[in-house]
Amino acid sequence: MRPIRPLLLLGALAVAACDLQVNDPNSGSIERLRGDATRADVEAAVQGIFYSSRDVHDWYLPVIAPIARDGYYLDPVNAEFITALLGSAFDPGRFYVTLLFNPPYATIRLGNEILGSLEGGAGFSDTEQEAIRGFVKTMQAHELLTIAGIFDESGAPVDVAGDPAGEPAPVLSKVEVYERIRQLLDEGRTHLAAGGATFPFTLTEGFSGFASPAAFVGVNRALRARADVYAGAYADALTDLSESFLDPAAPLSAGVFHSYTTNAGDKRNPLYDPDRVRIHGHPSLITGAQTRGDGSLDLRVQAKVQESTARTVLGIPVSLGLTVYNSPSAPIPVIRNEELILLRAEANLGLGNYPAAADDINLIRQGSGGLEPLADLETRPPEAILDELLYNKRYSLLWEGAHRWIDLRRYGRLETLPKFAPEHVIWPYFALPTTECVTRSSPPPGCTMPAPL
Amino acid sequence: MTFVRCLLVAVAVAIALVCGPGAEALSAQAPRTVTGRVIDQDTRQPLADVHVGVLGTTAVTAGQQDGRFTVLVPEGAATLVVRRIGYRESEVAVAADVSRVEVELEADPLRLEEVVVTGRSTGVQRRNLANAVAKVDAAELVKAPTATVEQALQGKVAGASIRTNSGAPGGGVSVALRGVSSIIGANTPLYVVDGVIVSDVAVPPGVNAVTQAAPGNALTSPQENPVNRIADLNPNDIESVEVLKGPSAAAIYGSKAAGGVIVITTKRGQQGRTTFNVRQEVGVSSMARGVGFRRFETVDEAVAAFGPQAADYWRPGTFFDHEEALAGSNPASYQTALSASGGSENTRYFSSVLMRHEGGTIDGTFGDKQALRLNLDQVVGSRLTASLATQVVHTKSDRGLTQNDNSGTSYYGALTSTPSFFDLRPGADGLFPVNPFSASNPLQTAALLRNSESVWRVIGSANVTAELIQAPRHALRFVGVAGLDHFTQNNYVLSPPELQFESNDGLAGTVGESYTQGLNVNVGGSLVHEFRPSERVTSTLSAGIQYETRDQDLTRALGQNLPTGLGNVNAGTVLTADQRRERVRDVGFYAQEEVLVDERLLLTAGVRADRSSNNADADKLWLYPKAAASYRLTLGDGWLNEVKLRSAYGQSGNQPEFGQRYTALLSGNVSGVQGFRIQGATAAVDLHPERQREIEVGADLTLLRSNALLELTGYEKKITDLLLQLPLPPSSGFISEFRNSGALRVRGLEASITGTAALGRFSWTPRLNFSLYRCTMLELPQAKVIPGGFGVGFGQRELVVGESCGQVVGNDSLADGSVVTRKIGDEIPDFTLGWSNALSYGDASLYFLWDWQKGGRMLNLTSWYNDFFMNSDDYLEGEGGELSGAERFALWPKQSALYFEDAGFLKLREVQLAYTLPESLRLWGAARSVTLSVTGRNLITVTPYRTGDPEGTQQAGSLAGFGRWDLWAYPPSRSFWFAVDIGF
Repeated sequence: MRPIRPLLLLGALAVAACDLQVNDPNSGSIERLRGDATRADVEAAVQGIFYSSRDVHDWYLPVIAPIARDGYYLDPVNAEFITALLGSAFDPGRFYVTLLFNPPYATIRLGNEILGSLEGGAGFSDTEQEAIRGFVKTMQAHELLTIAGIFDESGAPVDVAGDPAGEPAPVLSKVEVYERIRQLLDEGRTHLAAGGATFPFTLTEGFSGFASPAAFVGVNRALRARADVYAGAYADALTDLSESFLDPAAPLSAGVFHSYTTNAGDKRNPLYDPDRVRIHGHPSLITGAQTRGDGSLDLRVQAKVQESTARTVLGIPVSLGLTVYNSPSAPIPVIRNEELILLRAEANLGLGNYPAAADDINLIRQGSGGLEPLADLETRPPEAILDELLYNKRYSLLWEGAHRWIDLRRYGRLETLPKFAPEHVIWPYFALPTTECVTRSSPPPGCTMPAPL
Repeated sequence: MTFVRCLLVAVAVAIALVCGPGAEALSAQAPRTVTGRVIDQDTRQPLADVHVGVLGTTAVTAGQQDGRFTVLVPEGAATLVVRRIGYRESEVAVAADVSRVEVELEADPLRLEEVVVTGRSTGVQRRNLANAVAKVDAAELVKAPTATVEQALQGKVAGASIRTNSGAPGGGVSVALRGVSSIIGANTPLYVVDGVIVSDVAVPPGVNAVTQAAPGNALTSPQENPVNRIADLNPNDIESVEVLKGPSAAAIYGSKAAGGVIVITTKRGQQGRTTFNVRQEVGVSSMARGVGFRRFETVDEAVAAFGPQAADYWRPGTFFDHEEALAGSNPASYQTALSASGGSENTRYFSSVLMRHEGGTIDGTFGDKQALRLNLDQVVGSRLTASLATQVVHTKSDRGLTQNDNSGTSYYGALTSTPSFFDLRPGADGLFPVNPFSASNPLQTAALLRNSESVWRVIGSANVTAELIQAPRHALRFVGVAGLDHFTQNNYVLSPPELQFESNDGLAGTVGESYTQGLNVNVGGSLVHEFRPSERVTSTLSAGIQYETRDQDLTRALGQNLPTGLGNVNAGTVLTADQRRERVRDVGFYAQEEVLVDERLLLTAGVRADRSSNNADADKLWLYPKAAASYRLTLGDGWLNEVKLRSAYGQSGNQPEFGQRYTALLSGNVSGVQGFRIQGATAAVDLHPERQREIEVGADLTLLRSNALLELTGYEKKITDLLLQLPLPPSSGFISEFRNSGALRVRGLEASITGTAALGRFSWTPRLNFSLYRCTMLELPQAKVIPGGFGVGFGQRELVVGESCGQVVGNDSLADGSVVTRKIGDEIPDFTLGWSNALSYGDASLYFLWDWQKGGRMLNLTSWYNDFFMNSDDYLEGEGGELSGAERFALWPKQSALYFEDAGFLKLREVQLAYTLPESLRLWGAARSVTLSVTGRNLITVTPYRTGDPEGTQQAGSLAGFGRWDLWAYPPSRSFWFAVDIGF
């Protein structure tokens, strides 16, 4: 018996020494951005921002457009799109909140990981680092702007760069959030200014007109102008717009876009629904449209809304299709020239520069809607100019973002939205998702839904 | 290379162990030979499979097919101990001058003598066992034909919850032993076949590409009604199934044993003439319980439910039973099982062939299995026995398109919004009408969509037993085990462009071709030292190592926008490819000591140490000790004959599942620009196995002159370091973190009674098993953890300290009309009870098995959708004073419990009526035995559950994570079989 025990021990030790470590065979590890990140890793992570910032669009408009009564998203087997979004059974724990909240913050986290990885240089020159920082911060600000538009008075966490499992970032008030977004964009601009002539990474097709740090400053300023207007800082908005890519002579469609393709590993435009299976236009798109000189409807309605056979889906009669996106590869705008002109009109209106505001509104009326210019617009009461502005913002930016909802909210006009059934309500903004609240030791403000209108 | 190195080390250790002690001499006394024959006391027929030992020594000899045996005994008088499964042990005194004996064995329905596994290579007799280990033998296992071994166990094991996930042919079963083993970790048992761990993974077939049940989660969606791969075993090959229900019995399997261990032993050949067995079964099945849809009496009702367009389709007095048209066929099934067994003194073999076809009640669905087995035992010289077990199996199925979908494409998902007055059947031209009420016409989908699965699998194991030392007082044995389990699963999903829904995404036609390669390799070795310091004491010391690798690689190619009639991926204009790989490396060490004193007192202690690549630190060893004791009191011949008191304690682990420990950077591209992104979950840096501590106490009473056995067991298991996927504030960029945190406790009772009574030619053997458990959350990192669900409106699982782990919280209305959110029910059943009776009169026998689950709730979303679409069969008028569908829906979501239904059931699982032909009728003497039988499965179901099968569940894995919910499942079926069993 004696030789057995030492042998057993020896054998056990030998096997115990086997290396069992297995690296993730399916994905990269986030450790690659922590510690000694390589240039290729950081480059890939920066390019990941394009993918990540697109994620929110899977559900952004299907959720927001029905609330803004721009259309319906009717999932044949999920009644929540009616009971929660149009009706009063809204539960901030559900996907229609989390899938709008989580993706922007995943992009912000990715951005923060990138900013962290640059601390070691990662093989980039100082200029290149600045270009990356400028791009990342601009995109982070864009994500926060999306959040601020949806959650509004609920506020939002901003300082989210810390340990994910550590103390959560405090929830800042709406005013603070907009202030921080504008600050972040200013930081981004400073970095971009020091970022040299080219970006050290590849930009997607949708960003093709802005593929250098200098050109990208135009996007940075455009986003800041949007944030300025939302924050009521109209003078700042005019300054920022002057440095943005706003150009009345350029096509209204000029701007930056989320690209989609049917390529493997890519995504298709989630709003492309040729057979009107889920996405339907709201009847008010037709009834609220202005007519052109020849009696036909606003060109924007003609291009974006299409009559088709009437059906009843989940009790809602629908007869309009949307043709805003006409292929699975159609891009979704981030921000474009047409919005910038309208933002300039809005800023001027806010500052009392009525002729300037009226000029821009008429520019869009003619250029986008094919409508007659309103010669007397500048002399109308400010409320009436605002009516006209909001009309144009609705049809120019239809199904491109939460524009109408945010605009009506800012001007206290949500109550003017039509309701299909008496039990329907209008939600002014969203409460923070339940998971954001219950994972904190004390629930922050903004965790309960506001009273519906 | 790691694996090869470890393998080499393992082999080297094995060789060292074999050769090391070889020098030690065998010093036996001069032996003599005793020969004999063993017969059944009643029938006087010779008994095969007998083991003959000599009292006070470690020598054991196997008998031959004809009952004869030859055994070496020491000089002088000796006592032989003769054992056979299903018979009482017999001790036979052999005087010094006697060399021939005849031994009569008495049948023992209580199975007290059978040997039950207690270690990797050791076992003890049931009468001494310190745990409540259930053992089911071949005869009891295959009373009525089943596709899978778990279904064959339903209702037969106390403490085992075995639920068929859906009625789709081919399998898909959730097994949970002793209730809850984890919240998000594995809740399923480990399967060990002939000493080798075999894979029980469930690989989803890929219908998610059509159903979008889990958007963007195409490769790993659990909502595709998958088959768990233990279905590949042939139940007819199984000699016995032992169920080690918790860590107190299974600690020796370490960090893979938290869900218990099911040890399966396949049949082996016997020395003697080759015997053949042929069993031919033919059967027919039918839908056992449907969903039921509404009949419309007036056009107003139709319009109220389906909108103004319904008036265009309304025809007074028409009712089309779509469900009957879809799932009402009575398919034929058959099963042919052949086996041959025999061998010489040194070489024994068992081989079998199975051909099985199971038809599904939905046209076009089926489950087929063809299996081939060869088990060989070879004695090499006087010291070495080598055993080989090999199985090749091919399973093939088409399981249709059922369960959750987000595209209106699954059969019942379409039916729920389709009125019964619209005719879905094809016209004279063979074309199916477009269903204006849903995205799809389910009859068209059932006719044209293919969801086929084909699995080829090889399971092979080799065992080497070397008797290193065989002395009168001690023996040293080396047992080496190596096993390989390889399968290739092919899934082919074709949704042709002519299907109504296919053009909805602008890309008509979808084809998905998936291949999954699974490879599990086990290598291990044990040394077993048996020592008998005196006639009264036996000590068994065993120790060993086990190395395991589990690799899985799933690749899927998806083609969309297909031309009509083509089903190749490359025929599509939009192609996507996906891949997911899993690699796990485990190593474990164990040592165990068992001491049996006077055949009365059994003491056991052991320890297992494990490392795994699934832990964040793959180098850290996790230790799992165990200890057990039992004492047997014999009390004479009265009504109470024997009492055994037993107690066992053990620990086991539950590894994090593959992938949980990684924080991934996923790849993705935008218009060709490739990049990394963050998604979802991150992991704690110290992620490690859950720890389960179980203590079990029990008493086994042998009653009524050894004609009845009552086994009572109580247990408590505490699970600490629970693996939880805890939500993070999503503003951190991560949604959740895998972390060890929290604890829960399960307490349970199990009782089983086995009896036997005989009067003349009549005999009766009832078996009853009863179990219940309660589970309580002890610690949590947050006030409450919600592992998943659809919000409080539907009721969701909420884990709260001090409350049941199965509690579901939802809305409830108070008498004053106000709504409160509180516990509305529990998924954990009140109790389960299995009751079988075997009655025989001469050559005729009747067997039936009832399976009863009292309580246990499940979310019935099928019912909710039927009410939502105003299409339930009781929409206007409730049955027997119950609420109608309209009333239910009006009260929802203020009363969530209306759809969180009692899923208790009473099922007549198995019935068998058999007759063994008298000798004169056995094919003119050509056959050894001929038995005719009529069997039935799931013939009766009694349940308060409103639709379909109360056993079914959308997501497999019983109480795991998300909880139980039922949506648009394949309806359950009942089956009748006629069988002829001939032995040659």
